[in-house]
Amino acid sequence: MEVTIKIYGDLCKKAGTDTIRLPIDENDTIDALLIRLGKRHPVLLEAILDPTTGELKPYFNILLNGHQIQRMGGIHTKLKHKDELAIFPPVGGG
Amino acid sequence: MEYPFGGYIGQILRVDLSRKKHHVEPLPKDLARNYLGGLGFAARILFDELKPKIDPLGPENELIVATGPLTGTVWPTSGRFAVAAKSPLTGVWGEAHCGGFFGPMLKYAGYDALIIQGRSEKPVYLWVDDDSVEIKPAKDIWGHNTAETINMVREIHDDSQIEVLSIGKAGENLVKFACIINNYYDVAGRTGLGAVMGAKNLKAIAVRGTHGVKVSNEEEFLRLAAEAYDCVFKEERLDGLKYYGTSPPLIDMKRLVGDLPTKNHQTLIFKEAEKFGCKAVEKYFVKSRACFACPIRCKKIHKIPSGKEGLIMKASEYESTCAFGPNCGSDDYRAILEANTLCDLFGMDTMSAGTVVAWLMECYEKGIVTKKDCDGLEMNWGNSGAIVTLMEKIANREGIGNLLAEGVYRAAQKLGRGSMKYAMHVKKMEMDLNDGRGHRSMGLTQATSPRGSCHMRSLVVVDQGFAFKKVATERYGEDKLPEICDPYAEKHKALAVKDCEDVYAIRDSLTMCWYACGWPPAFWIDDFAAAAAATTGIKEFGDVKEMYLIAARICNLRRAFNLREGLGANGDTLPERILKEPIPDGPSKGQVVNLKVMLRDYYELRKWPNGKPRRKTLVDLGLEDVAEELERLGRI
Repeated sequence: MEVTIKIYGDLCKKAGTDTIRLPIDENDTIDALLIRLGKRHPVLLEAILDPTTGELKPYFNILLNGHQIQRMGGIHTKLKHKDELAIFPPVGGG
Repeated sequence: MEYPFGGYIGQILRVDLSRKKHHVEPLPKDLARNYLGGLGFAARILFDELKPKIDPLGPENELIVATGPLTGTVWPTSGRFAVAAKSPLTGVWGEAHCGGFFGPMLKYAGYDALIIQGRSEKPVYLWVDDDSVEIKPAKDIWGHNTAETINMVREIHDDSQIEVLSIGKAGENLVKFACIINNYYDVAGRTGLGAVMGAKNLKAIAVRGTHGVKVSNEEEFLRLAAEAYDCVFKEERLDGLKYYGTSPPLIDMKRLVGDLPTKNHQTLIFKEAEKFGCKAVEKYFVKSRACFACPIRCKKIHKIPSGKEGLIMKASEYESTCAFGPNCGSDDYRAILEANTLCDLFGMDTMSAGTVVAWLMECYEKGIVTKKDCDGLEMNWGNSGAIVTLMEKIANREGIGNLLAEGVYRAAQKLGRGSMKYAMHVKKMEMDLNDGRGHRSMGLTQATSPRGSCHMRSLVVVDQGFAFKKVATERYGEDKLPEICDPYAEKHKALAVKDCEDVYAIRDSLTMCWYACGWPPAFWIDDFAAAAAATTGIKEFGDVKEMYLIAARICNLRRAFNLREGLGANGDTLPERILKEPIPDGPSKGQVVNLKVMLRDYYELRKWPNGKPRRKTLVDLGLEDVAEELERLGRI
């Protein structure tokens, strides 16, 4: 099983890529995936997580298949094969 | 004698084009004290000086160009100014705001505001050179596009530093959504104020100023300004704007969350929008541009492959990208930039132009119009060649362009055949490229904006997702969570819309840029209050409560202006599609806007039962004269 992580905006520069594919196990959640992501792209994780709390920094956003993860189970949301995770730097407006 | 408040010059320049006269008036102290500047000045002056039911394109209409106390100072993002008049597009309150360098230059010439009244018999331009003011013939300039006009005026006066506001063919031909252009690229875009200039035979306003702006408490002002610069420079929150500008990051986000108006708002998903995202357009980047005193530099220049040299054009803002792209079903980035550039040259609002074309495309799809009706153009979704061609036809009022030049409401009224169902407008102004079904507070924002469908008057961002939970909690309290951050909930949205409308009324009166306080928020009303107090020396401005009071005064005055014209709660609505047609696909699938409950809450917060301010509401704001006039006319 595998998920795709798309990195948006200037976070791409920090990650050195805009698309990362990572394998997942059954029952894996977003936080487990982020830990795995941090091992391969520590700079990216530093950019999006608050170093003291380990939580997503204010204004940064993670979408799972276009849905905000907070509308589901937050970082404890379970992942499934072919899910697409999008990581956004601060953006908003119209 | 020096004006008693800092930041202000203390003078208004009034020009009567009919009588070919001008004079300088002192800036009334109570106008500065009670209305702050920019938008606030315009609201008070237009309410006082315009009679209801006048023809917006007649000599009785007045065009106000107004700055605020921060304009022309070094405060970051303060290089803006407001333009206002009765709108020929909506027939009610019209306002537009613009960046660039004109606002500071007007103050350096010695004026806080310009009031243009009357109508010249022949084409003219206004030349303001510090104390010298001349109404000069524009016979040789008339007919030229906005860029040529700016160049010609600068050549006439042999000074490339002159700031010029100009109209193009669209303004001359009274296109109802003609705009005003400053410095080639900066636009006072909405509500058809370019047509007001055109109707006055006023081709341009050129200004050269050699003075400065004094602030009251220099030490405190500089300390606050330095902090503000630090915030803008250091905050990674603003990096997206600095690197990519306004459009690509928003396109990326909105396309994924299902909030991107597509094919005249039939859906909010446009699969090809990736072509306008950060990754796709980064390769076109040439350089960044900035308005006066702005370290964000959100304006970008792109070079699109074409022939040997390529085409260098202004990168479109989000609204323009979506107007000519997804909402017309087009994935052709080059055509989007071409249409955007033509709008600047002809002087037309891109949002209205794109929306009126999208309406025609839907009429074509539904068989309401034929290829013959459209001058032989096949108006299929995504026909980018037709979109670009129509820009010229609209500006010149040629063929089908003459119908579209009236704006989508009047065009649908004239065409008939059931086409009004597809006319996406609020208060007769074409919808901006946002949709309350994907971002709920937007529905209330668009419905209640005094100038017609507009995202800018009270754009709430906290309900674009839970990434904004922290700021939502700080502003509105933890008890409002989670609904206030939920894009699909109506609850608490009126609170956020009213708050933003108030804060932005202050922003537009100081005058500051949306990107200073919009999103991500570098500054909010407490920062504005501190800056206003240090600049003017008016201690009361330093109190946030006083700022909210001034904001409420301005918002009620705009409401009163519209009520006087007969538009109240009857105008606070949305197109049927937004209220009744569920989104067919994507993350927003099934969503419609329940406007009624948000409006009920909004009116309650504003103290406007049935959409009309109570007499007491107005009196408490010092607007007793306004209450009396509305009562005399039977409006409240």
